[in-house]
Amino acid sequence: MTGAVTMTTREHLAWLADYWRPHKTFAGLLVLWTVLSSAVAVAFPLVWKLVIDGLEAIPAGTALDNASLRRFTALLAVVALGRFIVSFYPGFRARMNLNIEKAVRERVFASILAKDYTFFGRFRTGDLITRLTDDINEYPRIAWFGCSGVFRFIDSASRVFFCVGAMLLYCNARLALLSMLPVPLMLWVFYLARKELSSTYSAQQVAVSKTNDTLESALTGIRIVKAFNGEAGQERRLGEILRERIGIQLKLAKLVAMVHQSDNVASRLGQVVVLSVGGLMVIDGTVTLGTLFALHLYLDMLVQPMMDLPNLFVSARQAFVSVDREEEVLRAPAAVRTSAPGQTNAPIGSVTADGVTFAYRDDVPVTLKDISFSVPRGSIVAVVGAVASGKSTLLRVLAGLIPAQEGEVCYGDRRIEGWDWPQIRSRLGYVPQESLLFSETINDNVTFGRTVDPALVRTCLDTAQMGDDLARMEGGTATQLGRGGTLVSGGQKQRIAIARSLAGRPEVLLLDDCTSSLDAHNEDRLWDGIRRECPGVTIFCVSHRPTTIRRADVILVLDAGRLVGSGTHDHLSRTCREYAEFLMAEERREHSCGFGT
Amino acid sequence: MPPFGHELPEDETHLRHLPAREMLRRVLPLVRPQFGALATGLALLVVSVSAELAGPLVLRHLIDVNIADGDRAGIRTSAFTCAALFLTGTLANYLQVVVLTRMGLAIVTDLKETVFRHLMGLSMAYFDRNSPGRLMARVESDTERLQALFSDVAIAVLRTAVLFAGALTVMFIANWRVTLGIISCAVPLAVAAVYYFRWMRGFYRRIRVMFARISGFVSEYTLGVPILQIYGYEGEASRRLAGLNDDKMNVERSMVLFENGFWGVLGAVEVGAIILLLYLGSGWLTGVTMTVGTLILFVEYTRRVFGPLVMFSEQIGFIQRAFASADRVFSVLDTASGTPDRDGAASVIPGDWREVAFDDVSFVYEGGTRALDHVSFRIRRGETVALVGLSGGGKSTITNLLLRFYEPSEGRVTLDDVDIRDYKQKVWRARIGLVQQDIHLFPGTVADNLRALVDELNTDAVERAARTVGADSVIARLPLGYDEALSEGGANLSMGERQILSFARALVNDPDLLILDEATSSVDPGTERRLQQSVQQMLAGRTALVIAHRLATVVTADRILVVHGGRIVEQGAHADLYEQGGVYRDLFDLQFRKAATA
Repeated sequence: MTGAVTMTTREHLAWLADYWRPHKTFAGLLVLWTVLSSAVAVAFPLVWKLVIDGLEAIPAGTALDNASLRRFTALLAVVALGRFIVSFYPGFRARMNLNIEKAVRERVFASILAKDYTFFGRFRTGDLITRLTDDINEYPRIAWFGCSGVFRFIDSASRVFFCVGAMLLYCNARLALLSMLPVPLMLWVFYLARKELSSTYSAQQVAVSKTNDTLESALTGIRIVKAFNGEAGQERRLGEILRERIGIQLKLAKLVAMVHQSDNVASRLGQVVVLSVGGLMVIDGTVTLGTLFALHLYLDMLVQPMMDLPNLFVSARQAFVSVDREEEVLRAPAAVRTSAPGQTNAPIGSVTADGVTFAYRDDVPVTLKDISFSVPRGSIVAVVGAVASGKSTLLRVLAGLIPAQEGEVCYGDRRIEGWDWPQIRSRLGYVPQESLLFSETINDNVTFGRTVDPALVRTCLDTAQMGDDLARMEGGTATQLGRGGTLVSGGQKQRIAIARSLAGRPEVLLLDDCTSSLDAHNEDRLWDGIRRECPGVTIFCVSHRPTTIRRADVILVLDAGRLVGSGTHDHLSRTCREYAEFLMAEERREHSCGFGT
Repeated sequence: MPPFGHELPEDETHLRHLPAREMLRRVLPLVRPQFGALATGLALLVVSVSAELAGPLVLRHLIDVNIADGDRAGIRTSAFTCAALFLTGTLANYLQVVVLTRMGLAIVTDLKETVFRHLMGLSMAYFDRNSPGRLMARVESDTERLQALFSDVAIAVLRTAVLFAGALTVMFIANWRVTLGIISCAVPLAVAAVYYFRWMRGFYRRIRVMFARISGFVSEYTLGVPILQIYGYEGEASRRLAGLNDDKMNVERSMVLFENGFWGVLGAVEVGAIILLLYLGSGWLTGVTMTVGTLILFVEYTRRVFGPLVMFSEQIGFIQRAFASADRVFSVLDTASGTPDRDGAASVIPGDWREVAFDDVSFVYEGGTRALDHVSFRIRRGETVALVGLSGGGKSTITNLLLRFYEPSEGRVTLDDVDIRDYKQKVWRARIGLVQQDIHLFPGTVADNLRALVDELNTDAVERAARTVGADSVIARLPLGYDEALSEGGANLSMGERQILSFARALVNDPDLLILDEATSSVDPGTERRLQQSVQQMLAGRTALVIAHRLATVVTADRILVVHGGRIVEQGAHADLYEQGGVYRDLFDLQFRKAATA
């Protein structure tokens, strides 16, 4: 991908911090909660210290007095309550993750909605979806890291701090230090293993993606595999990769098991120290049995958060890659739209193109070259030409979706760029070649966010020759469409899309080859209907149908991006070779067994 | 995971459910060869759990006996025993993980290979129904989930069971009254856990559905951005996304609350059990007091038993999911090929065959689309026959039937009047060379690709084929020549180079019949000339059926078949057909005229 973004760590953090800005109080609350959670965790062994020392104080074999029992119960009940309360702490982190997820997704999506045409050539839809979904909400990507990742680090650090503090302050400092001796040793082993672990993990990733590549290429290329009798070779290839993978996976499992055991080793060795040295100290009366057991419990609690601390850096690296990917989308240029409210409501008048030239990219030939024409208000303009002659691009330029790189398009006496975009756009109707409907009801697909009188919706659908189809649909205009407008036929999609363009009562209608599903009779009715419903409308219509083309007031003939002829049918059939050939081919096509593209 | 599909995860859509007994009957044979490993693993598991359970016992001895007696030597012995137990336990634990993981890997690798081999043998219709993504999931992720069943999950479940049984036994012996008290706390929790995990699965499912809605929404609306811009729908689209986000967020918030609440209750009940322990142990109810050592023993055991007991029902969930995966894997294995070889199909194709013929062939795809309608034609040996027509007319179906990817619904395809189904598929296909529009190169070296991974083909044949179409000069330019590894999809080669390689690949086996689907993609005029040359060299002296997109190919073909609407509507040589002025002329004007005038 060109123009990939890589920000510095400071920028990444600032990027994430933006999402915390509306939640400052919440952040403070979370910090407090973190500390509270550590305090509760640390309290449990201390309560035990009290209980056991209390029990030790009474002679063996006698029952604990009721007052002490009640006191211990009360203490433990407080711990139980504390545990219950702090158990909601991770949930509050998760809440913030969700806030971040929502905010990032909505921000990036909004920015995509405003992008210009170059954007959709540069980014594949699938990739954009990944950026709007997995990059944001997968573990340990933006949303998780943005709160949980950071706070888990704070949490672990605070636990280690509290644990060590309690061991040193409330237990026996000398015994505590002695029992913690194995910890650095094990951490050292753990860090050594980590490097090996991460390289083995990458090796496994590589092995897995090799497996997937082999599978994918065999399955997508199944025709080639079968045609060339390559099945056995594919099987052999996969077998080799899988055998290699076993070794890596086993090594990984061993390393994981080792690391897993290593945190055990640290705490258990510490506990052995507590038992041997501490046991002797209990006999000597230097420490109490309660202290000994409290240290025993602390050692179990200490190691896990210590091991967790470096995870911050690992997950940060992954999250920051995703941040860069979002930023890349955010920075891509948006379509330039003029805002100049309060412009005239007078009819648009003529539509003029003057020297319009356009290329999708620098390294490909221009799609439109020096196109000039002017048509008066109320004209029907047919745009004709072979495949890839630039018809659709011309309509997109007229719709203001892509800018002319040279020359200009004028509506009335004003360049399209000079119009207030919301104003001019509401006065245009555009139906693309692929109908592009959405998973909403037919009614909502027609109104499409605009306030449209229900009667008008009905009229527009009737005008678009969708009325008979609707009568056969149980839900009528309330019929829900599937994703991308599925659940209705291609022809019905076209007609609903036409109705959508009519619902804004456009002054200029741009129809990109969207009447192919109508038969000649229905198409006649469509044109009559449009004229009736939208008097004075100027229509640009890409079509292959000779009757439609003949009917036009003006015909624009495109050939390889150039305007090779313009005028009426009679004029062009005499003067324009390309037009004559085009029309002949189309007419013959219509007559020979109903060919249609 | 592919980002596009956004179908519901198949857990929800998959309907077939093998009964548990049937499932075991099918899973067990996979484990059988690994019986020794399984037994070893279990033995190690028992050792490690025993060591773990013995630790608190030693601790009790140290407190109640050694410390109470002031026995310094005894303390040392107890501490050493602890250390020894712990080291034994750790070692046994480690070895057990290694043994069972190795077992799981062996089982699953075998299974992967079996599933893949089976897939490779299935007919093309199966691949039409099942996307590559779905089939990849069968071979890879479903079997991986099964592996969890054989290693991680199995270990955890067994461990919990052994630990629970062991701890309970020791606790009963130490003080059965107190033990009953603790069980009375643990059992309701374990029961609650079953419901908890069921609820959670419900939450997960709802969240997945809502997430699928979000990703479906963004993919749909991202695709339609220009239309949104034209109609000013951006604000509404943003609002709707916010609505979907909110829906998901609300469910997730309640889920998190519920989840935290459960674990909070669990943590509190654990402490509650300890309070109960304190009461019972102090002789409050029974009049029998407990030593401090025994109290600590119980505290230690309670900590070890509570968590795993609750997780047990989650692991049951994993096992259910693994069974669902197994089910899907088995359903692949249960699918039979739609185009099996006939009994007694011949394994030798006569070397001197004279013609291939379609004899009144009709074909209907599974969806009911009629692709060919009583088509008859013949290709004589040495002839180049071009198929022309609009897409969807039936040209590809003709080549598919010729390759035996499908079988005709009616009529037959013959070689010298013998139905090609009377030959083995592999033998028949070995006589055909295929060049597709979609070139499809495999990951691997150039040589691997020219052989199409058929390792039996020798280097001479590969190089001869490369020379014939001029691919040798392309390959010579690569740093490692034939051993150059191709990057994904052959991205380190140009379009033209890839096409030439695909020509060479079709010739390596020196086929009797060449099926060529010419590329429509445009290349620069120089490359076009070279490709043209290569095609001519490839066709020289061979029998070929060409789906033609190039002017030169139609003009030089011996015969042209015009395919339209599943029928052959015209046939003959170019000049005659053009003269007739029928469908062919229209098509020619439409598709080739530009090239002709250029």
